[in-house]
Formats: sequence, structure tokens, C-alpha cells
Amino acid sequence: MGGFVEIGPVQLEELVHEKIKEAGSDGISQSDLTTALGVSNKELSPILKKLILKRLVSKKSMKVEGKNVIMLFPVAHDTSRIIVNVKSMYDVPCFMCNILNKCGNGSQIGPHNCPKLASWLVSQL
Amino acid sequence: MEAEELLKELAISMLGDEVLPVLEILLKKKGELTDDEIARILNVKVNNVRRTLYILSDHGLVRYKRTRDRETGWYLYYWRANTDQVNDILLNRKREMVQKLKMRLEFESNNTFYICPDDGSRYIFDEALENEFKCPRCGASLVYYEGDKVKEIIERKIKELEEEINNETKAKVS
Repeated sequence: MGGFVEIGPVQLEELVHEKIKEAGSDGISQSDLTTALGVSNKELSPILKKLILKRLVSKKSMKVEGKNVIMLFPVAHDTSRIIVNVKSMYDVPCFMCNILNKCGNGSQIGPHNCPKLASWLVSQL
Repeated sequence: MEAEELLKELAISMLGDEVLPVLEILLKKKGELTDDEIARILNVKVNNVRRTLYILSDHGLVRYKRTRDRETGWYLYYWRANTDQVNDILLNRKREMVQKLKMRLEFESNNTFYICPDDGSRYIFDEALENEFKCPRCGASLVYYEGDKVKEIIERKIKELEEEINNETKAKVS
């Protein structure tokens, strides 16, 4: 009993991603990654390809001590800053309306007969 | 409020709670996931996941990238939440709101209204005439309704939103 535990392709993908994230903005070379994880280049390549396609990892070829080295970096996903004022939108019922894109374009409900818009207007009087 | 929270709130309000699990997976994973992967994580049928993704995509909350699998020749769809485009989503929505308010303003300007003093229901001239200027609900006599105040409210809101759209569009570009 004991010994090595086999891990599936999904877990390996997560592990590779974690390792690259750990390296942060310094990045990690592909060869260092294979050594750290104990996997071959052949096993690693398709996983990296997938992570790059998913935009979780980026790849750059860099010159280190005269040698070309493939460096891997995590892709930072910043939650973009909201610059649009939503306060002014919340009070109009159209903002959260689930048929806004159909409203008035030949559908039964349009801005002229929308009960939600009518009650908002009454509430503003 | 953060982009992720706003995206979730928009999704719930516009599409209901049932789209939330799929959206939350995409928000949690940050990167891209295929419909198969999402179905596996949620332990639901892939068809249901696809349907939800298309609904979310129709409302601009998620987007996909399509690539062909070299081995099988099938298309693979990689989905991601549109957190990085939340300002565009909101600006587009604001523009749509202005358009609807302008349509309502046109309707208010082109019609005369009669109101029931008892239940507050409002009728355009043709409807009032058809009902002999009596409220079809309670029978009370309808009275002429001065719509200037309503027009004022709509005009003020349109102005406010249009000014914001101009400023926010400039801020987004710079």
C-alpha cells in the first residue's frame, strides 16, 4: 500500500496552474516547471496549451544567459473598476427589466404601455 | 460594488436565480471553461448548461471563443464571464434606457390623457371617448389630465442619463 497516488488530467492542470501562479510576475521556466512537478515535457505541453487557450497563463520566450528559455506567467484577472454610475439607473425600472431588448420592437409591451414604467412615473409625481 | 457582484445582480434581476450557478462557476474560475467542464463541475446535463450560457450571452454577461478540436474535428466553446466588459454592458444598458424613455416621451407628447379620479387609471383620448369618458373599471367620470409634469420627469431623467453617458464614454476612452 502507500506509494504514489495517480492524479487525473484535470487535477494536473490545476496543479500546473497553481505552480505558475506561485511564481507570480517573475514567472517560471518550462524546464523548471517540469522538474518541480516531476512530469515530462510531453505531458506538460498539452496542459500548457490548454491553460494558454483559457487565458490563465501566458508564455514568453526570453534570453537567459545567452540561452532561449520559455517562461510562463500567470495572467492577472483584475476585476475591472466600474466607472459607470449605476445609482441613476436603479430607480428606472428599465435597468433591471428582463425584456428590455425586446421592449417596443413589435412586442406587446413597449415604453408606451409598460406598467412598470407607468408606476415609476406616478411615483415621481 | 465590484464588477463580479454587479454582474451577478444583473443576471438575477434580468434572468432569475437559475442562471446563477453557471455564472458563479465562471466568475470563480476567472479564466475560460468549456460547457462540458461546467456541466461536470455542477453535475448537470451539458444541454442545460449550454442553454443557460446562450441566455447569459444574449444579455452580454458572458462571451465565448470557438476553436476546433484537432483530434475530433468538433468545435470547442470556451466561455468566460464578461467582468472586464462590465462598463460597456452598463453603458449600453444606459443608452437603451434613454432610447425607451425617449419613446415614452414621444407617446406622452403626442397624446392627451384622461384620468379616473377614484382609481388613478389613465386613458388616452381615443380610449376615453370609446368609454364615453367614464372609467371602465368603476364608472366614475374621467377628467382631463395635464401631462406636463410627467413629460418634465422623463426629460429630466433623459438629460441626466445622457450627460452621464457622455462623461463616462470619455472616461472610458481616456
